[in-house]
Amino acid sequence: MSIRLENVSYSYGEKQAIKNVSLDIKYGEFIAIIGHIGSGKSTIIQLLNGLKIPTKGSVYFDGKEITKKDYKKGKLIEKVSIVFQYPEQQLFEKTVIKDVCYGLINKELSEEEGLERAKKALKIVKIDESDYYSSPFELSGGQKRRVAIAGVLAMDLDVIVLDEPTAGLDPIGKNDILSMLKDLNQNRNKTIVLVSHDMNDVCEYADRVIAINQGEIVFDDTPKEVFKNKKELEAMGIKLPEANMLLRNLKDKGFLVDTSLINIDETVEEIFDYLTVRRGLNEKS
Amino acid sequence: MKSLKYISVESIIHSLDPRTKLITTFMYLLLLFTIKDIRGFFIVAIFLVAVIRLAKVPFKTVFSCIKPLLFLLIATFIFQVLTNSGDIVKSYAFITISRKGFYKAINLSFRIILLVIGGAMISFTTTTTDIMNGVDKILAPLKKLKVPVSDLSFISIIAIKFIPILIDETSRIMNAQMARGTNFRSNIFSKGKNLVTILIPVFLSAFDRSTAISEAMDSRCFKDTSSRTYRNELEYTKIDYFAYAIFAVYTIVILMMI
Repeated sequence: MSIRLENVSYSYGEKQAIKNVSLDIKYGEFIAIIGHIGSGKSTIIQLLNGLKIPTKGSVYFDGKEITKKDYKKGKLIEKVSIVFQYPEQQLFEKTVIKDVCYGLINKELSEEEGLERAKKALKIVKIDESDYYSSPFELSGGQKRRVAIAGVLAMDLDVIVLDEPTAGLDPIGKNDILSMLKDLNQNRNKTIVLVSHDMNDVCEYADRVIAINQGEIVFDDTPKEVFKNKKELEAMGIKLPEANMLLRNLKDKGFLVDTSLINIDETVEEIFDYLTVRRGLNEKS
Repeated sequence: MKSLKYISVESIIHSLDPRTKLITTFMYLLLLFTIKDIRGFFIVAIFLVAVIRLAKVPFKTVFSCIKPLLFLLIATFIFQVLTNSGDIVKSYAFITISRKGFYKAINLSFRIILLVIGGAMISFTTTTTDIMNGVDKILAPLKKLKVPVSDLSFISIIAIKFIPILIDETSRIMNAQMARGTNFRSNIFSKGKNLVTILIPVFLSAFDRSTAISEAMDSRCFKDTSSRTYRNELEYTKIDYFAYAIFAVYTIVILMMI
């Protein structure tokens, strides 16, 4: 069970956005896609559910190739849902709950079942029950975004792709959304593909990192492995996570810490360990 | 819309004052209507090709702006051929084709093509800001009659600048709704409902943007005062006078053809 891109290229007119990309996404993974602005991240995610037709190469869903004919039916692949950048802009209904239901009505579900699933999704994104019947346009920016995300979650598809879902949110709203994604991934076995600019988030949450530069995949590995390549990443315009930068700077100053760590928790532990155990031993000897 | 984009190259035509281009283009369009026979159109075509070459605009781009007109061209051609009476060349049942109708149809098609390409040249070689500054300057005398010329031209600039942004936004929201299962290729009855899912978000964001712009303008103390200056003050140079001279010659040639 997987989504597979095989030697896929995509161009906008004469400009090639994606060059010969091969990618295998297995169900249950938490993947982060990183890259500089204009590297082709957004194009790749639109290839994942059939919004864009590759100009070259093929896309496979569960081993079945998606042919051009399938695209022309105007029917997108019903396994992958996408949350685009600033999803709050897609709200249009009179009430919050109606907006969340919208995608379900398209799936021809009964109203009761739709409402039930919408309420479930709203609960996941932590929207108050008292807000269900108010207009989505009266909510705050962060709440609007959650409602929009709920609209996508309610579809209950196996794979959820999110294009910078935390852009412009406050730290609390950001953490809420990211930990919600982690929860969906671990407890409901959803596949999450997250496009992000924030390497700190990537390191905290993703199991696998795909780094893209100028339409090509440069790294595709665990976060720890990918962030070992400081030089290459910086050349691509990607900053290392702050925790890792701290460790690297410490090592440059002569403190013998492990620079392969990228998590905040791990880093704290490492520094603590260094200061108490190792440093302590060194001084004794 | 995309076929009428500004083409950023350096050429004599690009460097002309926008007023020169606006006035000559306007005259060119007027003159087109005085031409009555194919020889006249031939001269106009030569003039136009020369301008296109000077402006370094690829012919492919030029022709791409006629493409959307193809249907209109064919329709007017057929209509002209069928509705004009005169000496009949051929007739089938109720359809009659006259020589006069045929010539009229050819003339009209030429006129439309030359009209569109001529008009398009200005948007190929002049940025919208420049066009509006040019219009502003040309219409400046109307300020004495209390016509808010600068306001109008400024509003037009903003409106034009926002077209591509709104198009982008529309396609983004369309993608988002498609990802939620909206089928925009479905039957006509559900199309109305589907359109709402795009129109409401696009309208809302347009209002948001206009509020943001007006606030930004207010916070920078933007006001229409008659003494407002421009970053690039328009001024005629030697090439402009030269261009006017050439265009005068062209005008005389065309008028002599009548």
